[in-house]
Amino acid sequence: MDAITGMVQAVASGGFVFFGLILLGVFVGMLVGVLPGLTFVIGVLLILPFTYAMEASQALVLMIAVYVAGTYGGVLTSILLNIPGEPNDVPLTKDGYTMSRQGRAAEALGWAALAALVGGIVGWIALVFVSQPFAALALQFGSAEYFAIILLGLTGVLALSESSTAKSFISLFAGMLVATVGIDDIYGAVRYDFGTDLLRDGINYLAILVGVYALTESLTRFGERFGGKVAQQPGEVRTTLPGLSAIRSRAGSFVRGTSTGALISAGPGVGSTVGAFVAYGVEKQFGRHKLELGTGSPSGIIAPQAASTANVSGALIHLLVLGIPGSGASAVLLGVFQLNNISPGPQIFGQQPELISAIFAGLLLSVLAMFVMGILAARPLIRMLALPEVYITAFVVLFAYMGAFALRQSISDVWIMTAFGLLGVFMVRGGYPLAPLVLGAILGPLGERYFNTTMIRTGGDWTVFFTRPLSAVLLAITAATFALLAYRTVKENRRDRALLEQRIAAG
Amino acid sequence: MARDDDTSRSAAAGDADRSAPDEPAGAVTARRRDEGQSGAAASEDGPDATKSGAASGEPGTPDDTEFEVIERRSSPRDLAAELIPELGLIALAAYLFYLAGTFQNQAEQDLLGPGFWPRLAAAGLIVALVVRIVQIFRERNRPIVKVHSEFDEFEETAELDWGRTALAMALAVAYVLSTMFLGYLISTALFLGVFIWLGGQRNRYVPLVAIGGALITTYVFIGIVFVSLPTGVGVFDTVTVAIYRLLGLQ
Repeated sequence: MDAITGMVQAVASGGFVFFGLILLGVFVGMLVGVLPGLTFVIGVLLILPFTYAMEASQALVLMIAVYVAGTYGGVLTSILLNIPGEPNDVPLTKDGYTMSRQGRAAEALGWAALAALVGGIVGWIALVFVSQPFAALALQFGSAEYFAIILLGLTGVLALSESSTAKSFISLFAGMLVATVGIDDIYGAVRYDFGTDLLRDGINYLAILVGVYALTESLTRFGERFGGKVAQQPGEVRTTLPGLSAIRSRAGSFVRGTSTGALISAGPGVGSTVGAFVAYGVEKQFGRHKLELGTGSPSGIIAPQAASTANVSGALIHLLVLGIPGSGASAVLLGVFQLNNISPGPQIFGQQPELISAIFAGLLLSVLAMFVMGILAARPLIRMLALPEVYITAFVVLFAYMGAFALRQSISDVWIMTAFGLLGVFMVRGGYPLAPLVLGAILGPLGERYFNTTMIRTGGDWTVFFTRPLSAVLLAITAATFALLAYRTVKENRRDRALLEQRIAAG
Repeated sequence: MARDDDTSRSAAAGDADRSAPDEPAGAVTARRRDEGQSGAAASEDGPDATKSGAASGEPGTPDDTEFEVIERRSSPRDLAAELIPELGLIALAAYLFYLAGTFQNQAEQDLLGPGFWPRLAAAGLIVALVVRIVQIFRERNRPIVKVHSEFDEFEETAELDWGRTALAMALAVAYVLSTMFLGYLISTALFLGVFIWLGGQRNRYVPLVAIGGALITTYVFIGIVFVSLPTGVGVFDTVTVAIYRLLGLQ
């Protein structure tokens, strides 16, 4: 009840500005989902420089609105044009576009909007009612537990990477190494500055994020001559919400999608893309309409979309309670906290109750605004596709410059961002995943801090990680994840060998 | 349009969605997919050939696994091109590992010290790179099995023109460099104009977008977000400040 009262007060004190920021954020989030070459992570990054003059609560609410709406905006192009706007839209595109070709586009858009609403609201309920008890529990965590959580997060990123394991490890360790540049906050030593002020001040991970996501994508799209699937303007853009009986018959898909998205997000480093794919897989395996999937089934839209939107709340729980970002977008949110000298973590619920209430209220209103705007603004958003991509890309480079420059009002950060943008192009083309690099740069320093703190507190006793129960359990899960990774690699090699032998036998 | 944001999807989508090891540059020149032709051979022409089909109940392979076999012929030059980045990174990581041992420890000497974590990361990087080099040698001239998934069509990306990519990179670097001398406003107008023009849009709106975009973003970032943008040097500084005055900016 206190949470609800706090949210009402946050909305009342925020006034029109609060609502205005939510509407702006939702619009931007949906727009980046629709526009080619942009993802919601880039959307959150690009809006970052506009938040520097805002209060922390306003900046966070705006970015959360972009984040939430970004999980939905891409469905418009996915369903109407067979072009997934975001990676998490890929699984729903199959059924969504098939429905569209069957003349059921309006119905497909209606199911997607409803799934995003349900996923968002259930996720919000989980955030409000789970985060505070979880924070009370997290207050008992020591640095050993935090280190174990970070190790698990890094392992999770590796386990879920589609690139080769060796390449993922290379990317991860490179990110961790880059993050050690500058003054070490435990010992006060200057590391890898090579006599330059630029490096002595350290490398802000937001500059890396802007570089490898926004700039890399822009340079690559320019190099690709903005090619790929050509977005045609669809004939009709309309959304029809399903009736109650239709919803009842698909209730299982809503439940499975939402619960999968929420549960999947409990793993640090697991973003909405994984949530959407797992939800689709679960639906295909256990759904009542599983045989329909791929042939234009609403269940193939509901499950992944509900999971994508529910996943946002899971990432926020991690961020608020543990101070650990679970995805690229939540890493940017962590940057906003840090730029405002606020440390997220279990203590934030006691120290900054107004900020927490504003975030809770902002998420709920963003979900509702996304639903309404998704129905009303689909047509104008799709019309934006008529804009040549080069204009968008040019301004993305511009905002990437600004996003890096405004971090410390320094051209050094722009150079760092540019360097990582160029590096990202080579990494992407070489098949090196970017996510481990980024999360290595973000989680690496946190891991170092908690590891060193533990060592200092225990006088260098390594066994503490195994003697503290929670830390031991988390390390066991980490070890199991590694074992799974190894098993998967061996299994794939065997499968490939079997397929190859079969091919040779067939001549 | 879409590129993965934070984590990828293969694990989630199951084994059939797992792609083959990454193909080195120049390894695959011809590719054809003949879906539904179980075990049928396809292309045999050229140095690299592709055969595709579906598995038929082999042990350990799902019955409906669609896959293609990419045969590769890697010349010593290809191999060298593949190895150079990895070897360069090993040398760099080894140097960084060595440097980490020289960091001054301001605290008690018996603790791990500021060099421990960087050394851990550098050592991990070296080990991963060595594993990758071994993989490159093992994969050389060995056919690759690429298993297809139902979502393959969304993974196809347009072909990258390295000349144009280099041009875009040069433009990005030149833009940052020019802001230091010409200032943000002038550099941005030039950058937008040149980038959009070289990007293929050659119409009368381009100068308007370039100048308008530079003026509007300058106004927003200085007047509303309060970012102190570079004004350039010499005459460029004078011109920029004069325009700021016209825009009502301090």
